[in-house]
Amino acid sequence: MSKIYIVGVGLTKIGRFFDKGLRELFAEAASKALEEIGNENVQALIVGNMMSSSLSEQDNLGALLADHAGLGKIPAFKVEAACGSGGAAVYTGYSLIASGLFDVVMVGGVEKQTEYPTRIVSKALAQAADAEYELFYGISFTGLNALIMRLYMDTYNVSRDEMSVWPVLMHKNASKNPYAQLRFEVTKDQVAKSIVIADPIRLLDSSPIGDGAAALILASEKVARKLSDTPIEVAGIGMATDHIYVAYRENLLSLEATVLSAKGAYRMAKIEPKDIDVAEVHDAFTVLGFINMEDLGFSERGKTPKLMDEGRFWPGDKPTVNPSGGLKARGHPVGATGVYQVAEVAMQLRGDFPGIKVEGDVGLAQSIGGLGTTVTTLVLKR
Amino acid sequence: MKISVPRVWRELKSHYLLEASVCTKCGKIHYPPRTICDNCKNHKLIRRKLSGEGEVLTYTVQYVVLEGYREHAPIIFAIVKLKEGVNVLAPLTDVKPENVRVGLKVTAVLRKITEDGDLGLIKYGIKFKPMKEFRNEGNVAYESEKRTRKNS
Amino acid sequence: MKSIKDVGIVSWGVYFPKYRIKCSDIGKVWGFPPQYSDGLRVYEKTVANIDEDTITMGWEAARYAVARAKIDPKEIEAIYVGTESKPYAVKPSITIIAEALGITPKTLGADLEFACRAASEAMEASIGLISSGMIKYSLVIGSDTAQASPGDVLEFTASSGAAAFILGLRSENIVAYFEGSYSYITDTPDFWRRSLAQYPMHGEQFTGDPAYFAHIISAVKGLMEELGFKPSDFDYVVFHQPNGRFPLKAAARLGFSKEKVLPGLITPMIGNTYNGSALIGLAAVLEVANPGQRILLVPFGSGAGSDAYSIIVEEGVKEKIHLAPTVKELLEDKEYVDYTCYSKYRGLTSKFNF
Repeated sequence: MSKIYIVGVGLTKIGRFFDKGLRELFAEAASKALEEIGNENVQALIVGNMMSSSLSEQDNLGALLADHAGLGKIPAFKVEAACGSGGAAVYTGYSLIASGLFDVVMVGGVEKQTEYPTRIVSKALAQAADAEYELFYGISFTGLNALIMRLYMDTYNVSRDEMSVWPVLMHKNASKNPYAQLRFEVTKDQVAKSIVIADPIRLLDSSPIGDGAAALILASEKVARKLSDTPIEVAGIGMATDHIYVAYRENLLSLEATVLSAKGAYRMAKIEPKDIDVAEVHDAFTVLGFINMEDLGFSERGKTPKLMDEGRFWPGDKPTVNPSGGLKARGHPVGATGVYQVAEVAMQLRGDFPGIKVEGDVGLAQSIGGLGTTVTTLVLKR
Repeated sequence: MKISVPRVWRELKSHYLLEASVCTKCGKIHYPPRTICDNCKNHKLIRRKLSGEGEVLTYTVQYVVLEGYREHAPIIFAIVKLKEGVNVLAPLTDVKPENVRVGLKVTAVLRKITEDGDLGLIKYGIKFKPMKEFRNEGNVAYESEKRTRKNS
Repeated sequence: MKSIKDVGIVSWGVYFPKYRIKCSDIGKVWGFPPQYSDGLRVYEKTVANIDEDTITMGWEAARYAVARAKIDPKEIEAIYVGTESKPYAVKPSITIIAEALGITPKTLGADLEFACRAASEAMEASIGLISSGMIKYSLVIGSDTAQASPGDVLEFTASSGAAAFILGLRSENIVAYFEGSYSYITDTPDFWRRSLAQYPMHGEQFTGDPAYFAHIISAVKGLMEELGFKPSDFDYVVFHQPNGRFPLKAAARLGFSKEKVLPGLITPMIGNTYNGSALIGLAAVLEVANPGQRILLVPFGSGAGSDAYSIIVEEGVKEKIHLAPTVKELLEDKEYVDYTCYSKYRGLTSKFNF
């Protein structure tokens, strides 16, 4: 199979943009990505998005965004896999090129969350869970993750303060990222004293609600060099799903879809976890950051908080984790997040990420929908 | 109308009675019920009511609630391991957050989950409450009244 | 009235919420004279949790009755709930209860309304259905989350609870049987709630002599005359108990000693559970009575009507007591809430549907 490359990226800052809708946010990111390829035409648009239907009353998103981003009357459609929509969109765009159907595809991600109060946004987000047996009872996404956090802390005997190292590092990293939503540092004490959302998850354990859009341009080996001087190879890509009803899973402290998708991506890229220089992993909540590090093979079960407290995974270490600040502090514009992560890793490998820079040739991006229900993992190479 | 009528009706037995599906070939119990066994791909499944008795495996106290749930806040959610070895997610009721712990023995009861405003359907389903071991003998009312009166 | 064949009580089940409010707290909020509620001989009342209503409480009481019954629940061929606090004005509560007990679809079923006496009407009807051979077992539930306007004197007593009885032909499996009953109804408007009103209205003192006392006393006298009994023939007396005082007063007027009333007088500790009121009292008596003893049960419903039943306790009662929570156990499992919490639980505050 011939290789597929990332030849252009574009991001908006993540935040609460009351003055911008889906179309304005996406047009901004798409324009930046197109600029990187000299405004050449793209042949198709795949958009990752979760809640345009529930929060913006907008379906048929592909057509709307292709039109408003000035992409012409090209094939365009939305891919939805909850918070993992971005990763799933990249997976789809990659497949369209791998199939030989197209040579240049734009993969976008956009989310507009700030249209309604939190209780309504939380309800829309909670639709990532099993509607008939989880959402039925009114459990929020934070609530589901809190069940896992308590189990993690109890099983591995990890204290509140030990868990707090994740948000502390993420906020530190995000403070240097111009695209990040939460550009301020926090202390362990502040994390422990922030309000409880769903015990034991506190506000500072949670990714914020924000709007944002990201765009990538994927190209076949045939045209990649014509469009970019610094194409980044998608060397491995894997995707897997798991039981949506979380209680049905045999092991609640491992996300099997992460393990399987990473295995697929590593095998395809012919690498091992130790080869990775920079990783953007999914950390919508503190506990997910730790579990993902363990499932991706970067760390042993239950030991990540301690290792991170000792300085592992901080800038300068290999791998450096979430130099963007992660979902926790860069922000989590849901369906766009997976596209942000891939774009950020591509920028790291190109050497032009505008925040904390990581030296290296191999990067990983991991996008999750639901509580590890749909996971896409990518390995990128310079 | 925010609560779908056909859906509430369709799911009655699994929500009121904790009805699970059981594989006729490998015997695996699935909750929520399935149409195909995920263990052996068998399509012939039968329905069986679960005991509703088990213990808390993990729990959370959710303060930030979804639209329609403010009056129930904080809601304690738990994954309960039933006697049959099946895990079920449901709220806990009739218990204070500080009295919940992993390993707490609980039993399923029918409760109101939420309602669709003042006009729509009321959604009923199971919640778990702490199991009580009662063993008191003797006259009921007479002593109780004396104590209650003293207390008032 | 006497049935052709003897009909008995196969089992009983009681449920009332664990939350209680002290009546003195209610009095303080609304500026009643100190110790006002002591005069009613009601000290605390149950408060249904935010997720409880007539249906959920009725289900729980019924579940305990099923646990004590030692029968196949599928053999229950009639199921009734008497209530004046239906969660749906139109749509049966009983179908939800029956479905959640797993005893649908081949069964009779209805919600009955006759103020606090509706469940008793269900009991009379069930005796007829069973005695005639039309059905094998009937499940009769009385369940209410009684409403009272905040600030109304009724608020001291209106509470939440349920009782359930499974009835069947007299056999070795029953805990008691009915010797006979006497019903007495007239149009006496002592208490009512118009169709869209949130809370009921009442005639205050008019609820006493012309309503409660006249109907209960007439029903009891009618029963004793028909069966040829005198007050001393009864070991226990359970009246409808809107407060803790009325039953003792009715007993005194009829010539029953206080000691026969107190074992079944539960209202002082839980308030008036309306359709559950007299039936919870009967359950409490079954939990202490001895085989061969005779119980006088007299439910009353405003509007108004009363039924007097003569019930003989059977051998089977003792072994069934601990198959489900007893009234005493439920009384002791309690947690107090303040008026603010009570008003949230009972929906006394108006709010948006956040």
